[in-house]
Amino acid sequence: MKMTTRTAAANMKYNKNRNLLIGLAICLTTLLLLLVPSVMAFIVRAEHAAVNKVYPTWHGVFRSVDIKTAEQLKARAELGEIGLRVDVGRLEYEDYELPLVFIDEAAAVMNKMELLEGRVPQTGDECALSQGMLKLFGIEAGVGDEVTLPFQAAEGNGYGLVEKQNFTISGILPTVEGNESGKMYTTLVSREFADEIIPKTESCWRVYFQTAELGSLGTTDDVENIGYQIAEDFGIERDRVRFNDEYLIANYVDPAIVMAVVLIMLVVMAAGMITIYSVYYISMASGIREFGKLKAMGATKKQLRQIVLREGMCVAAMAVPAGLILGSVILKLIGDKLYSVAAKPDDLLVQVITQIIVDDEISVFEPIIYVLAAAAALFTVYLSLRKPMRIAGRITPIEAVRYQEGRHRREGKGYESLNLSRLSRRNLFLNRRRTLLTITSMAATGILVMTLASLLSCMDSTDAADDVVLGEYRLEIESAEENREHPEYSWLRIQENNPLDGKLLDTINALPGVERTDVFQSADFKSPVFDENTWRAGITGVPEQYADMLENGIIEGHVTYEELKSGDQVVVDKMLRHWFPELRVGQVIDAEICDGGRTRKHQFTIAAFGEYPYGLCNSSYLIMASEGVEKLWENNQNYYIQIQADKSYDSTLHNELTALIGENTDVLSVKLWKDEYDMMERTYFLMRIACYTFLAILASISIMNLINTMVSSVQARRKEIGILQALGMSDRQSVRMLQTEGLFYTAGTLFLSLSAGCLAGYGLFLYCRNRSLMGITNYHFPWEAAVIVILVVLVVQLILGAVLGKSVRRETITDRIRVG
Amino acid sequence: MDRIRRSQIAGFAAAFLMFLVFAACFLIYQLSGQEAEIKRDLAAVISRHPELEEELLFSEEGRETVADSPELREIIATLEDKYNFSYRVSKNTIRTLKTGAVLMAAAGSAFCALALFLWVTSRRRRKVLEEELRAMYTCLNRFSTGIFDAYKELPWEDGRLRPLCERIEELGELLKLHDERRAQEQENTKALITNISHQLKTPLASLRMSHELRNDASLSQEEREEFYESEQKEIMKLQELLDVMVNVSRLENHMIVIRPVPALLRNTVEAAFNTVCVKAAHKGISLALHMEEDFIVSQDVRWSTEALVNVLDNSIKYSPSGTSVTVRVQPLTASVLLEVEDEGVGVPSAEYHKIFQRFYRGTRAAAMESDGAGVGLYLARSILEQQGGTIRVKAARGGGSIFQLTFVLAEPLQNC
Amino acid sequence: MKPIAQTIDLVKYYGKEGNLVKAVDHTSVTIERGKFTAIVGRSGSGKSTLLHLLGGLDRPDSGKVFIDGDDIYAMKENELARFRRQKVGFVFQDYNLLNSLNVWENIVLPIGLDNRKVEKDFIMDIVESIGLKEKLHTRADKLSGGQMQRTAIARALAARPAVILADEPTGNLDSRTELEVMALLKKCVSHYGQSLIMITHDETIAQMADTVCVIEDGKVVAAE
Repeated sequence: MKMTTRTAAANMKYNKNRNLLIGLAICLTTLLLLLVPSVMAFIVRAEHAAVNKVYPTWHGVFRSVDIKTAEQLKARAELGEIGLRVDVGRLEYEDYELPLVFIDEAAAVMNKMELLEGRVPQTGDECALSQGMLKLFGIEAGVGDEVTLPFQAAEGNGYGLVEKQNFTISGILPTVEGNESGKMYTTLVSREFADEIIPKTESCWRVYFQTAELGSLGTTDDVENIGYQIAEDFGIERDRVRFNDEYLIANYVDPAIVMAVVLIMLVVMAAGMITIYSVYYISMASGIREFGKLKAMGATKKQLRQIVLREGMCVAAMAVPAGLILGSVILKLIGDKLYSVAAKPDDLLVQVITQIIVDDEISVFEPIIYVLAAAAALFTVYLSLRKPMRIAGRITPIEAVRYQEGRHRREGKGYESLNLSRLSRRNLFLNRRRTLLTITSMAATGILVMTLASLLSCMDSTDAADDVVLGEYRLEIESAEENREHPEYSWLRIQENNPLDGKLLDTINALPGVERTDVFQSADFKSPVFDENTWRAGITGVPEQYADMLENGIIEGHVTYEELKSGDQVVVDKMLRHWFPELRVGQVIDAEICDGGRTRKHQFTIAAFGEYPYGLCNSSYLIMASEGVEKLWENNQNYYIQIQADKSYDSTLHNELTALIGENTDVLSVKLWKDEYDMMERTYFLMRIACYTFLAILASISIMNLINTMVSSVQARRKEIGILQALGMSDRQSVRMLQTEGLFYTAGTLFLSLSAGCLAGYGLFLYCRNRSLMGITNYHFPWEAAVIVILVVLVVQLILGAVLGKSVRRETITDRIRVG
Repeated sequence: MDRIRRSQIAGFAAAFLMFLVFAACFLIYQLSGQEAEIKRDLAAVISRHPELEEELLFSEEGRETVADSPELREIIATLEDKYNFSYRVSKNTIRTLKTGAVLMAAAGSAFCALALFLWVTSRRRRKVLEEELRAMYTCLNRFSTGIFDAYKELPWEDGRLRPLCERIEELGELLKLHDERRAQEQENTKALITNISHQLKTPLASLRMSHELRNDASLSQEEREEFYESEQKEIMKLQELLDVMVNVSRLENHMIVIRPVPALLRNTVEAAFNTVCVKAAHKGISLALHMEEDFIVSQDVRWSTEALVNVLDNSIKYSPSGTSVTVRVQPLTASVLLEVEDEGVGVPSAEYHKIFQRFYRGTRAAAMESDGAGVGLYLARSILEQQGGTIRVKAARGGGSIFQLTFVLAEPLQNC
Repeated sequence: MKPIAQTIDLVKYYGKEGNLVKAVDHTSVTIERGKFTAIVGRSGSGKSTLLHLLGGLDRPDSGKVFIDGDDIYAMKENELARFRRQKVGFVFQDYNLLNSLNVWENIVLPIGLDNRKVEKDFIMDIVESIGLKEKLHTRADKLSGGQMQRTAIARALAARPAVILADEPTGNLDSRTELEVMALLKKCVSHYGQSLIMITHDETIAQMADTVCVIEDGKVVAAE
């Protein structure tokens, strides 16, 4: 074996304790480097898989296209998959929607249409339908049977007369719950049949497409751009292009997440590096003498460097796999629990995800991440070793013989009389660099801990829920503007017969447990300032009880609630400035008010800007007093009823409110403060656990740093401590001396961590609040975290001092003095 | 601040606090009375106008703080004018005052309790201190009766008295030491007397014999002259012996006090040389001095000269003729080194220690008919050590001896 | 006069069977108070071990050691530590100064450990006599061998212990410095009534003692 390797191996055994510490640090670092990306990747992939299972997979669709254009579209390279679909007609039965549709194979796959039995209709009068629909007609049939159904062919924008049509069943579609509740069953027919009915020039085809080559890293914008571009090329109007937004969003990997993961990994690497580096740096002191002797015997610079590197890598070679194995064990344990902890069990998406996890369709273990983690860990070790390697290379033999700890220029005057604490202080001062290094590296972790803890403690579910739902319950209108099937869901129509009228209010007020009801209005208008294609302009009417909140929230400009009753002035929530940054106080907005069938022109002046909880305006960011809205609009614009109750949740009251909605379930709904609260609790809970675990591991890495510093400090001063004991220092005094040193490190670390950490935490809080991230609204000082940090550090340091002080006693004094 | 003043101030403080407490209680009592009155007023109004009950109660409860508006103020002013009516202290004020009064009372009581506690503890402490002082008093008493171990029972735990206890212990030790030394000296004196009488016997005996023989008529003229000469020699020897004895005894009994003062060393050396140069020349031994500069050292000139003479004498005595005795002076850090080197018979290393003891002659020296009393070096060492210096002997290259003497510099050089 | 130090049948062996080194072999020795006692013997004769045992630095295998009437090995650790800083002043052969402290601080270190006040005048006296006045603020690792030795001696004297135990304290000094240091030590002994027990193999130093104790193979052979 080469001399360097042999020396390295010998050194490894000699420096057992130090290497143990380093090994532990490397192990933990590797652990974190493995866990964080694995968990993130797993979550993202699970979501993608679920989405892919549930949602249709087309990216966009061109509607009302003629067959020729449809065929031409197939040629475009940017569009990967193309699928065709056309409505051939419908079946007649009461008020059910029973369309007859031809859909080609590609479109069927993209729309997730699968047959239970049989095959797709290929010729003439073949069809595929569901048993549920057959039941409607009271027919019982299977594959191969002939059925007769009342058929209306598609004609222009409507349908022709009902005719009896014969169909042969070629396949059976699955019957799902949504069919009966939505009163809709689809029947598939063959291309032949479609071509028979639909004229060639008719533009009624739908072309589903998936953009090619973007894979999973494309953005929604990219897809839309391509879609619109092609539409333009083919003369398809923009409003005939639709995109599968939920699917796209769900499939698209936010680069912000990737960056966050990389950032976290860098932080972990930095923590590991600092610890390993300082451990090595501090224990270099005792090694320098050895290296000097080697140098005197003729070793070269390179050889010395190699020894350091090999020793370090040997330790890493054992610690990194240990970390990976430990990480794998943890992943296995928590893998299936990840999602079940976090979300509502009745959310469909979550159900699917849980199923996926249980079925083990996606693995938590991804080989690439293992390689990545191992590489990152080794790289960290290498970086940490560079400086010690350099130091080792530069040693001269003389230094070894005369090496004293803490060479430095300034001497200082010294003390007149000595006591233990002065001794400790003197020692710390002499080794300034080491002291500072330890304190800084520990404080770095401490600051991170306090910052994150601040953020976490600001995540208060109550605050977040309060931001969204101002009372305990909210009864609100559910309007839908673009539902072709149900045009009566649009707000303009609902207004005409607004169910939120005085009678309803009285009924609600009479319910037991209800303390107060506040009615908010939401009125729409059109204005050239707000492009109506992208932004629905609305005014919120705020009742008297919120006058104070309104006035107190003003941050720019000035207006009183009284003035807002006129209908000419509005307060604008500052959130609107995100999308319309050019809005100014005093700006006049021309508006077209649609009220019933009438339209009127009116002008508002922006009197002020304010900062309000989201639940106040709910995206209608212009605010007036209720009276003002009532002045301008004739129709009843009541949109929300915020209900204050005596208890935060009462199931009786909830049921009664639901009962009040009665038949108007399409347009009314009850929103619970409690639901918001519960949801935030769950979200926060998961985040909290993840963060605290992460911080705990980081903190352990850091504590190892402290342990090493103190241990090597004691080691280097064995002889000195022996002398002190020979001069009569008792055990208790030596323990106290070491504890005083530790106290100093502790104090420095705590001071830096708490002060800088809380400041950073406050800054982070402000950042998040301004961008309304994670529902953070109020600042809560992280008391518990601070107390825990202080306690942990103090306890560790006290124990350390006591243990070290006692351990010093084990050798007899004469041995230490003699060997020295 | 002396104790009387302090207790006066304490007394005043206590009285003031008591006053505060009483004032507070009185205030509370008054305020409660006012509170009750207000309640009664309200009840009276309500009993007369029951329909206004809710309104009146609401304003009483302060459910809605009545905003200060110009109209209200006008009404108040009108009321005051019309009826000379002044609304008495409002409820809030009463509450505040009550709280303040309670706080004052509490603070006052707390202070009183604290003061009492402090007074009690200080009383107790004083008693403890008295006991400790008594212990020290007893200890010192015991010292005067000759029991010097009593310091073990001193109150060592009391940090304030510890320096005192340490001094007492040192005193005890010192007294013990002196006591023991005194006993030792008595022993020494007894030994000295025995020794002196022993040493005197020999020359006295030979003198008496000579004296008796002189009267013998059968002696020839030459024989008589021989006796005469030997008598002379014996008398001189006796004289010398007595001189030395007297010096030694005086030194031992502290009748000679060595008082070191800063004085130039060269004078001492020259005086010593003058004293021995005759004897040296007589024996054919040359004296040399290497002394580049002079030093002011702490010495009693008369006695250090004596010490140096003794050393030189010793060297001359034990050196054969034709050799030289060299004196070298060099400075050290805080002292001056004076070396006397001879080329004589030397001192065997086993006897380094013994030659400085009293009445010791040495084995080799005895071979050379010596007439020393053996006290010269002993005296020299005693003198030098009392001046803060010391003396020792080393072997010189070539067989002789080097005697190293040190003198403490009166103004030490610090150039190391 | 009650002796300042006394050992009764003291035994300390090193090593194992077949390789046994009898450093102190059933030694009983009595040392007088207020005197300068020199312990001489060849190297390896057990002098240092005996001194360490007298100073409470090591534990004997059997036997007792009395210092100023107290059985030191019957004491508990804390009492022994207190004994070390109050009763005994040790001068080691290799000085054993604390490199992180300067000369003054090294000298007053035992006093500080005992929480006693520093008597500046007394210590300055020693410092001047021993010739360290210019070097008071120099750090210990920047001193020459002679200066370090003198600092160590000053440290032993500063605490005014009842016994000063010195292990070849002048071994690394030149002969003139050696003489001066011996003069200082003797002065302190006679002036303050302290007892000085010194190990030396040098006859020129041993001659300056009041009593000489010869040790050979772990036993006291002669004393005078």
